[in-house]
Amino acid sequence: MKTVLKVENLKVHFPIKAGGFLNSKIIPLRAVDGVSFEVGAGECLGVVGESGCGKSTLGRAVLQLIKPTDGKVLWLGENLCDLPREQMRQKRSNLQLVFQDPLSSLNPRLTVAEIIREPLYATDPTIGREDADQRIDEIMKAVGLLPEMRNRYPHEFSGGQCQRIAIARAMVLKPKLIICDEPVSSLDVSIQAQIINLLRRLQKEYGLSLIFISHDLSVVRHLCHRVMVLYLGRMMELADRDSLFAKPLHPYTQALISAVPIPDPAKERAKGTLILSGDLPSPLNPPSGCVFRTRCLKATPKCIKEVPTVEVLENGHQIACHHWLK
Amino acid sequence: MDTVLELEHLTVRFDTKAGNVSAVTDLNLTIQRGECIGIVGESGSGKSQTFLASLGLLAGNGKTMGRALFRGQDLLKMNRDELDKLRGDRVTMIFQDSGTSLTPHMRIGEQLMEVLVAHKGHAPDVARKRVLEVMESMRIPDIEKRLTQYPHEFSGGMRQRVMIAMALVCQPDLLIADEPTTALDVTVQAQILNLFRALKAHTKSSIVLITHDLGVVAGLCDRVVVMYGGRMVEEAPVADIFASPKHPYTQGLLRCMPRLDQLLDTDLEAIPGQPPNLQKLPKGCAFAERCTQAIERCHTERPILRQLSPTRRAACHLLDAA
Amino acid sequence: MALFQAQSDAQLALMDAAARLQGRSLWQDALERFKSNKAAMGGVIVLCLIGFMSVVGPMMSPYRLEDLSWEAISIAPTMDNSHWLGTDDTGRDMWVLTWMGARVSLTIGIMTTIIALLIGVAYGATAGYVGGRTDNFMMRFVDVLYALPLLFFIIILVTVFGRNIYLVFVAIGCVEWLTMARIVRGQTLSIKRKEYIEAALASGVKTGTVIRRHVIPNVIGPVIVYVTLLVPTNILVESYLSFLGLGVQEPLTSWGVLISRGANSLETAPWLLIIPAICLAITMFCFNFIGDGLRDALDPKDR
Repeated sequence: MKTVLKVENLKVHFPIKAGGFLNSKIIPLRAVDGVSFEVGAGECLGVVGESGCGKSTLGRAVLQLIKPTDGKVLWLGENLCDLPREQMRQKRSNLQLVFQDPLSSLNPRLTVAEIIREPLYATDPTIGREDADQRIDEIMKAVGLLPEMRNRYPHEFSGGQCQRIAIARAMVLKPKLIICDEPVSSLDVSIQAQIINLLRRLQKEYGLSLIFISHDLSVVRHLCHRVMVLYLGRMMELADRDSLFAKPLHPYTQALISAVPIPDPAKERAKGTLILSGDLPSPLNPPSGCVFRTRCLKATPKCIKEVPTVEVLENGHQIACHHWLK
Repeated sequence: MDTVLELEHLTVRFDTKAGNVSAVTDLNLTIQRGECIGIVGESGSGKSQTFLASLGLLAGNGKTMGRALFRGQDLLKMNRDELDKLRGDRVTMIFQDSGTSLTPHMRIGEQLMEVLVAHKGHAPDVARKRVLEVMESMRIPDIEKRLTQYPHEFSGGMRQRVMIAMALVCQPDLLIADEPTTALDVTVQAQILNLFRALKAHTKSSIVLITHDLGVVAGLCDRVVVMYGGRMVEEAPVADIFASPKHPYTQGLLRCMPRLDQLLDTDLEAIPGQPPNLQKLPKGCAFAERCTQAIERCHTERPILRQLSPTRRAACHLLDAA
Repeated sequence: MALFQAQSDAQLALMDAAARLQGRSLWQDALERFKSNKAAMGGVIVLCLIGFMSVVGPMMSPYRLEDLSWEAISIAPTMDNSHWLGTDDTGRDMWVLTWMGARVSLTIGIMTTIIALLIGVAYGATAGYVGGRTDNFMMRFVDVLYALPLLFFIIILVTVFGRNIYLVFVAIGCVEWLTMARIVRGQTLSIKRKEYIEAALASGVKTGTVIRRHVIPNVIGPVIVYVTLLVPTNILVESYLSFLGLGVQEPLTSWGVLISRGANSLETAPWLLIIPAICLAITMFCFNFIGDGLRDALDPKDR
């Protein structure tokens, strides 16, 4: 499989003003702190983690919507971080984004056709009206919308249909990579399945690469080929779907998987849930050493002193933990 | 067994400019003492409105009909004062967004004690003892220090715990939890669900758990009610609803979820179509236009909720035919 | 399955769409809501009437604005000799004066608002969209100007440039844009955080296009409401400038000038005060009703 996107040691730090009126100082909020991964052509990479783990920031930093503080984002070998604005703008037709809240990601004052047409005009201002209309019809059909609905406004559609419009807008340029930021989290269960199926089908048909950001492990397991687990801006574990879910190595991944409720009373009541104590620490003041150690059941003094390095196992399984062998 | 809450023909309507919206139609439900009942449905299914209406918490343009008997007294006939006395004492409610339910300028301890002083007339030191007791059972570390803090110093999971503590200090007969874990992360959700489990084992309160997450229901509830388009479509003991769902909607709901415990390499069996429009519900079954098994009759005649066995009810024409 | 589903979805939508293929934009919805608001529609009708009379009114009378008449000083409103609203203390016809005053007052109200609108929207949108240091600097400048008293500013202008009507436009416009800029900036800040802005940027839309297509149409709602409330404020400001003798100059007149002169002869000829005062009050009410109506129509959630 050809690698299309390679992210190396990506860091996004937001300067935050802290302290009082007189002795205020700027401290960095490490939203993403040294994350590296690759995405192959036609591959779906899942990014999971709890709120505040930096997964949305990561997606936006890859697209250069937030300027990364450090690191490289190599798109087909070219570092996007170094590109001037205008050149980056031209690259955008290859990389698209789908948001969590379908209604707020669509401008309420524009019709469906105007919304989908916008990226077309942005990349090619000379495109003819008929040409554009034909492509809009095509993509609307592909995402399960009727072309007849082109002149209606977002507020006249249900949440699931709005998400289809947003996917159509992302797909109309035939991009090679789409980053989906929690695309089904705000939808009802019965609608979620429709959108997941749609993404799966589009991915196969168009050979799309997907970065699927989600907190829902069940959905990630269904859709993704590989999964990356983030915690407090750091990568904890990255592995093939099957090896990650069958044999999670990192204590955090183990807790995460065991916390997901299973819709089967017998299984759900029989399984022992690993209950993590406490809450996510503040990213302004992350724990020393391993960021997960404050909630980890296996933590030792070594975890306080040393930041675990990422180890790559034979099958490509990547893990950042001192004690994964235990 | 003694009955805590009995809803009879409960109907909730909203008057809007665009016309009448029926949020809940003709709902009959009995909740026994010590029971944990799950109310499952999608947004707009009327699952929250049912209980908001029963407690007199509807928005201004809402109208409630029918009866809601709490220990034999009709809640819908009570005046404001009587309801105020009952709410927060005998019946308590927890919402999804716990942050906004706490007053930002009062210490957590004061807010908790206020409930006891207001409803039980406890002296402050007695109230304080009870608060400490409940907080301890919530497994909140550093209780003494926590009580002197303000809501913004608490994380989302911690605030939800305080809300549960507040709902429990008066030892209510009925605790209604409306999507209590939806806004929380999975690991925090696991902590809260664990609390509910302990709660169920140690108190005699009845719990109503309103949720869209069947996984949460599976781990916690004794009985499950499935709602669609403002009506109850199925009711069954928890093991039965997962093992042999009778209504096509329940079946679809169970099948369309990706599950962590089984791997499909095919598409999910999604339920086609969109949720029903409550302003113009169809003449027949509200689910008919999304139902893959629908027959002619489903579009013309509304199915009634039938008793299938002593513990199960469902509303579907297909069950008549069988 | 997915294909089948997409199709069945489409069929469902077709049933729905057959009824209404053409969507209803938010503007159309707002217009409907506005039309059903009786007070606001009443305001529009009365205001149109006042506007119409300010053009046609003076022509209906046999008298001209400059016609002084020593035979007809301070006549009470009467149907005889065509002085329908009486005359003032120099014998000018009040009917003509009132409608000429309306002309000037409304023009000042509208022109100053347009000036405020142009400066305010451009300034506020820029500050809000660019953000950061630029925003900080631009808004502190607004704060400084806020601290400058309006009257003081106008007195300086008048002493330097002398009295003329254009100066009044400029003076009022230059002060009133400050609040407009603040409103627009606030709106822009909240719109900027909306995901559709990010979506547009992510699909390679240029910044200028983003502001034109996504920011301004969504900011415009609250701005329109503020504009309708700013017009009467500016008419009022002109009135008290004229009352203090800093406004328009004779023989040109405005409601403010008329009220100020009428106040001097309150005991002998009360109609000189009452007539322009009523006109001014009615206009204020109309604009305020329209403003409230627009707010309800454009932002139905706020009710």
